[in-house]
Amino acid sequence: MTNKKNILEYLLCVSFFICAGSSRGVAQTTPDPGIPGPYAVSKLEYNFGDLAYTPPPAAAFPANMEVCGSVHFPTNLSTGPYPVLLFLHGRHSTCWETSDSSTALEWPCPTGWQSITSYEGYDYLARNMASHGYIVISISANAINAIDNTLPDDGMNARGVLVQHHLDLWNTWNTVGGAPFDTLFIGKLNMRNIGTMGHSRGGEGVIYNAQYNASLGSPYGIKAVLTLAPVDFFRHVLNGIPLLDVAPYCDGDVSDLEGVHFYDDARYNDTNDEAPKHTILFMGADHDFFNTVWTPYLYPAGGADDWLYGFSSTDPQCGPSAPGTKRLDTTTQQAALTAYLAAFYRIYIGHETQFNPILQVSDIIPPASSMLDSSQVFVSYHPARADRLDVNRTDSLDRLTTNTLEGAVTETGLVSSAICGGGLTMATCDAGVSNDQLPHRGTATIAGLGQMRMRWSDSAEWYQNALPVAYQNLTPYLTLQFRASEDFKETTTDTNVNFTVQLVDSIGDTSNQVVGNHTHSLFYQPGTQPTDLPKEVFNTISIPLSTFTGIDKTKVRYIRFKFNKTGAGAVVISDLAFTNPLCGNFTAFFTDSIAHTGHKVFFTNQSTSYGQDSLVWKWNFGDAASGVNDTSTQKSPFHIYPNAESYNPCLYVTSYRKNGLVCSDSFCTQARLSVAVINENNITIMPNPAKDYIQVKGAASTDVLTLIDLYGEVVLTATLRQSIIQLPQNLATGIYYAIVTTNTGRIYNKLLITR
Amino acid sequence: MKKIILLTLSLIITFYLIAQEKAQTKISSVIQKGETIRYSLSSSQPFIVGNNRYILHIGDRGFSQYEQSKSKGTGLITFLIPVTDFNDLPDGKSVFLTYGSVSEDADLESLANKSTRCWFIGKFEKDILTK
Repeated sequence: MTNKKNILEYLLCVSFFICAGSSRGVAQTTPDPGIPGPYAVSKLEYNFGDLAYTPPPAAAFPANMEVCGSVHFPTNLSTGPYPVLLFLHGRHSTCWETSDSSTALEWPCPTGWQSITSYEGYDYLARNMASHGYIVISISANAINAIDNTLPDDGMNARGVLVQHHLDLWNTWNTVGGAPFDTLFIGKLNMRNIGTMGHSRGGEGVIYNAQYNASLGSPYGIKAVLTLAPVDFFRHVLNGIPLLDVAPYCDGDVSDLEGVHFYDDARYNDTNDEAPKHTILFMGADHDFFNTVWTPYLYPAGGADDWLYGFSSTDPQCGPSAPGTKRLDTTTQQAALTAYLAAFYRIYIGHETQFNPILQVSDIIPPASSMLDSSQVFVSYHPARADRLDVNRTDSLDRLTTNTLEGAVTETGLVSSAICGGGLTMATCDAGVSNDQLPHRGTATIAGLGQMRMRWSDSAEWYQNALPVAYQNLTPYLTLQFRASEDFKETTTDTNVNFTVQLVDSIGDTSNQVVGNHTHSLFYQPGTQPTDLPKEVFNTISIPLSTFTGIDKTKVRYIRFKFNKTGAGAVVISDLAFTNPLCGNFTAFFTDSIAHTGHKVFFTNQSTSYGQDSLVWKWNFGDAASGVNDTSTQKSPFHIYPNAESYNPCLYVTSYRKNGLVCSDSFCTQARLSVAVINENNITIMPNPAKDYIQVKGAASTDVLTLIDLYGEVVLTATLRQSIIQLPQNLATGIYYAIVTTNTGRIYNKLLITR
Repeated sequence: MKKIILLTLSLIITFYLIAQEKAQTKISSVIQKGETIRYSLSSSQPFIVGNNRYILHIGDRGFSQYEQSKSKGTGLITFLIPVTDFNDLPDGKSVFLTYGSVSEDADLESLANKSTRCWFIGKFEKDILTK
């Protein structure tokens, strides 16, 4: 009965949002990620006490912390394991007094006072994601908030370590269970598929955690990181993990929107970084309303409209009291975050590629559930390295004359053109303008976003990037994109700008696209708050190459920006590239492990993709005698071989692209797979459970020990020259497969490691 | 006479109202505790408990480690300055308090006049340290 009721509610919600979108006359071409899912949701809490956790030295924190949090999950946990999300709040008052709602910044709370449960402020997000089959944890960090400003690192290490501690707890509940959840979550969390979200100081905290987790040998699979209006005091750079930074234009707390540096700094610093990155700019959002506990009237104490931290209540864009204010109300702001957070995690954790257009700027109509229109939200998208051809990164002074492909950069007639960005090699942009107004800017010693600044006064003026012959064939790509913003300092107040992108082929034929037909992001930035508004924020403009017609796209010589749409104006641009190649970045790969008896082999599909493709699997196990059982279309199947022979299994991966193109890749084992199972009594592994070491008795010195975790990842490989093998300290408590490979076959054991 | 009194009262009230828009912040105490100078400022309004940082600017140095508390609608913030850093600070430099960072070339004196999140505290003198 419960399932039927919830399915009905789900269908009604879907109908509402579809109708809402249609009533605004908006064509919703992309499915809506923010619509609640079909699962009923339950919530539980855990609290081991205000001072339950003594942090390790890595936390650089002088006091004990609370261990407290909540979990939202699908009520029916009959399947799984489920993907995991973990939320970390930022800095806020920690305690409140019930008689007069006064607040304090202490920990533990004074006698008679209550703790402010900031971790509950994301319940609306957690419910939505749990309804889609996620297990969502939100943790408390009040002990850190109480004293973090007395510490040199403002508590960032402590935040990262605290997140890891909670992941350790959940790993225990996932493997062996324990109070307060007993066996409820055993086998239910996929600890190799985790997304984290940090708000404000929590944002820099989850960046620290991702790096801390990596420094421990990645015991947990952090697969996506979302920074929500974060601070970035220390400019750590996170590579290799998909990232989304959310920036609220009306942020009155972290008013310089410094979280954009997480995106900017990570674009080109690591040539092996294949992780996409995104930013979202919400034009009418503030800092606090994303958390219901921090929102006035939604919690009995401590809430505030952070725009009023010294800024004008009548600012036309952000002032809540301004006639016709553009501020989002709390419901809309929370709905907006719900939709875009869901898009991010459902793509990178849930692999639901149908939502890609939202974060890849190919569909600029906001999802209906966000309650926004396209003037209220803007996205930046930096594709994986293999999914783009960088034409001009604007990342050095050289790019003023020579682009990233070694093509010539020229301009004609511009009033001014320059590259700036800060750091030791480029000038700081617009010295004298406040940090709040130029979030992307660097300093004299720390590089900011390298950017090309251009100002024109005549419609005949243009800026051009030449493409060397080797790069003139654009047919492998679907999109031309760049980031841009109007330069409000060089344009007339309240005047929007527009221009044309022109492609020129080898015989001089041209094709034009008006930029304003593909974006709403070239506008004079709103607001008049002195030293804070307007703000210059870069957003991606994406133009389908299919719209450029009448030219030979195998021989395109120039990309030209023609400033022929507004008489005078100024823009700043960066990251000019061709993106979205026809065959996206994916790789077929698998590992295998052999069951204890019966020649049963488990295959773990480790093919990689970043949400670009809809992937289809086909296995051939190399066991023709098994007939129809010799193939499978499951992602990670098993196969029972008939005898102890050698076999040669293969995985074939097919990618179905949005444009109908089909791409493929395959992987076969390099050596023939031997499924011989030797006498288990000859080789023993002890102790079991093990902690720091294991001893393998009966094996030859040339035999090899392989340790694999529950998700098929190899965590240890060692030859057995010595019988005692030290276990890596970064292994989490849990069950592993210990495989000893000899010259005649393999023996398999389940091993419990306790830490 | 009445007109003069009324005019004076009007000016006082107007000044009070303008002053209410920006908190009045001043030095409360400067004491040494061990190897740390505790440089305390008091305010007519509570200091923001937010995610950004207050920064005490003394000359071209900035300090951002502090404790904060409030009492009956007023605020107290105490910056923790290492003694060695304190002793290196030159006398006569302007002292400002900001909420949030400022650009390296920011004119804090001008900013204090324009921004409600930048306060001019006074001139730095080592002698202010309470022995």
